[in-house]
Amino acid sequence: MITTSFVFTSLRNGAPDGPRRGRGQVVHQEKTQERTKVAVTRASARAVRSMSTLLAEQRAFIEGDIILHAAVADDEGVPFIAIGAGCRVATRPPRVTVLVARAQTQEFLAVLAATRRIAVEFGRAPHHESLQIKGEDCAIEEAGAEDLRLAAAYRDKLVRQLGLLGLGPAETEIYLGLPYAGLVALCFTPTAIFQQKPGPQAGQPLV
Amino acid sequence: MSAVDLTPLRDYLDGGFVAVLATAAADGTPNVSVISDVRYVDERHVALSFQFFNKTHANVRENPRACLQLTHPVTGARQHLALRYLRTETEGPLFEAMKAKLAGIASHVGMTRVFRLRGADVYEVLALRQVVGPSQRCARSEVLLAGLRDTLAALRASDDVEALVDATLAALHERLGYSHCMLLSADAARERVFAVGSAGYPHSGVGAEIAYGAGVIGVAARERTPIRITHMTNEYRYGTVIREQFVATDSSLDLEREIPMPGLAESRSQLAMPIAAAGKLIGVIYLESPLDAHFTHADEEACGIVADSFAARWQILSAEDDEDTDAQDARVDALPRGTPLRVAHDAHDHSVFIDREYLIKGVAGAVLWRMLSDHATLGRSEFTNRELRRDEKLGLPDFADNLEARLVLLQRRLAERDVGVHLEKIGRGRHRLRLSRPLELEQSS
Repeated sequence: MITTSFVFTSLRNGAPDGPRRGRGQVVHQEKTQERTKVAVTRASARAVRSMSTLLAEQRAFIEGDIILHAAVADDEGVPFIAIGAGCRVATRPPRVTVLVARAQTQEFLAVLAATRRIAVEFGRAPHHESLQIKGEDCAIEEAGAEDLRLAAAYRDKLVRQLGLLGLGPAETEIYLGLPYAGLVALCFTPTAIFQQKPGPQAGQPLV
Repeated sequence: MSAVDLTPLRDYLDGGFVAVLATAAADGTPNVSVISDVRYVDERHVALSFQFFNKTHANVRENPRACLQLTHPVTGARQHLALRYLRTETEGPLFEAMKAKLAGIASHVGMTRVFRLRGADVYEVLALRQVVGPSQRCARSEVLLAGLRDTLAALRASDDVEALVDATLAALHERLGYSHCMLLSADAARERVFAVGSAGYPHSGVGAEIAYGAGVIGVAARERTPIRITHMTNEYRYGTVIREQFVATDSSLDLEREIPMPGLAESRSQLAMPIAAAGKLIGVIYLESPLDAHFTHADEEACGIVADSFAARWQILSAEDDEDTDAQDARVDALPRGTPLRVAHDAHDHSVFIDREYLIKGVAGAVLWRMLSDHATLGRSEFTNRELRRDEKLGLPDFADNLEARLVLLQRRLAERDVGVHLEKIGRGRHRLRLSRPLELEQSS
């Protein structure tokens, strides 16, 4: 049931970046009792896995040399962006935590506190490899000591990443808005993961 | 977020950083993705590359609001732009320019087969917010280049001399950002330039005259060279100083017959650019500012380009205004009723007074008197440029004597005074006199 609930959740949230999935639309039209059977049948060829498994598989990428961006939207549909300052993943139960600087993201945090829904993009320069994770039930917590160490490590990773794009360490710190006046941790339950590397497969959910 | 002007942010659109776009579905689910190409359309619009039928594409059609993050490729500063999706262009210059750029990006990153532009999504920029980093100051030359392109387009689109004058002043004021500017036309016979329009002043000053050699405008006119002054100098101040120079150089001058220059009381930077064509002076563009050292070499170059374009367009329009204008309207208008307008003409300098108030002098005064006289004696209201040029009493020596500018000046002075005499352009090289009161003409010598 966990695998099928993921499929349905991703449909409810709408197809992500990438071509819309005719197959998913067919599944969506089935009666509820038949959904599990259909999804599992199709999943058998593609090995539908639990969110815990998916996160575990993507953990190296997510916690690697990536650039983080998060988005929220208010109740009028106005979106806001925040850049991340680091992230960590827990797989059982599946939870993703993204750090952001409070001073740069006040509107973003106010919207998130109201909606608790978030989308996070994990991108790797320079070839645009990226994943997007959508989540809900997002809690906003003060960053702990471990998070500060995570943010310092992320800064070093970003210096390498942005160095590939020609930005020096000092400018990377400007980009991040360092030094941080305060870090907060955004902890959410992932509901869908999407592959976003440009191309015909962009936006396909990982299943 | 601050007022929208994307011009200083164009550097953000060059370089290796991808832009990040956040959108939201109709149900409020956020989406975040990277955008290969963001193109500056104008100071309030951007176009984003649309390559795949993806969630972003679907979202903005359901909900047009979006947020775009741009990163400066050198400083690392970040800007957030609040956007509203307007339309998708799939052909035309914007689309082709983005398609060509995307092809270059695709080739560079080895994704030629993957990157294909389906459309240029055009967004209105609702607001800008700098998130982190040093604030971006746009180089003055950047602003000027962007403004010049629009300015020259506006000049080309002008279909008569009056529109050309208005378009030039509007462009100098609004697109090139000059707070105080004036356009003056040359009267070669009297060695003076007279204001045909201005922008940024409480009073237009239309009709104000400057003698060749007086102040920066007069020196620019006499020497046919740009004059740029970066600090306040009494030597070149207008206002009372100029009036003193008039009196000193021409004892016959009657200050009651002068229209005051609209210039700043404390002008700290000045730039006067002659407008010339075929070796003859057409006029002068004058800019001034209450700030020290406000005009740079770049401003001088930009102003020179505007002057050259003005001259080229002026020549075409002036020639057109002389064509095909032999036909004269023989219609006799019904005479207006009411208290008569007392119009006096001084043949010495062609000064015209309406109800004892000075209106205008020189060729413009002579033209008005000729029109009013014809109206009173022959009942005519419509006049052609060609007949005015052929009238020896008006003293128009040749084609280059800016008849159209004088008519624009006359038209504006009458409109400003609004005493019951108006002149309107009714076609190429044709003007119509409109009176709301009967005339009582008085000639003096």
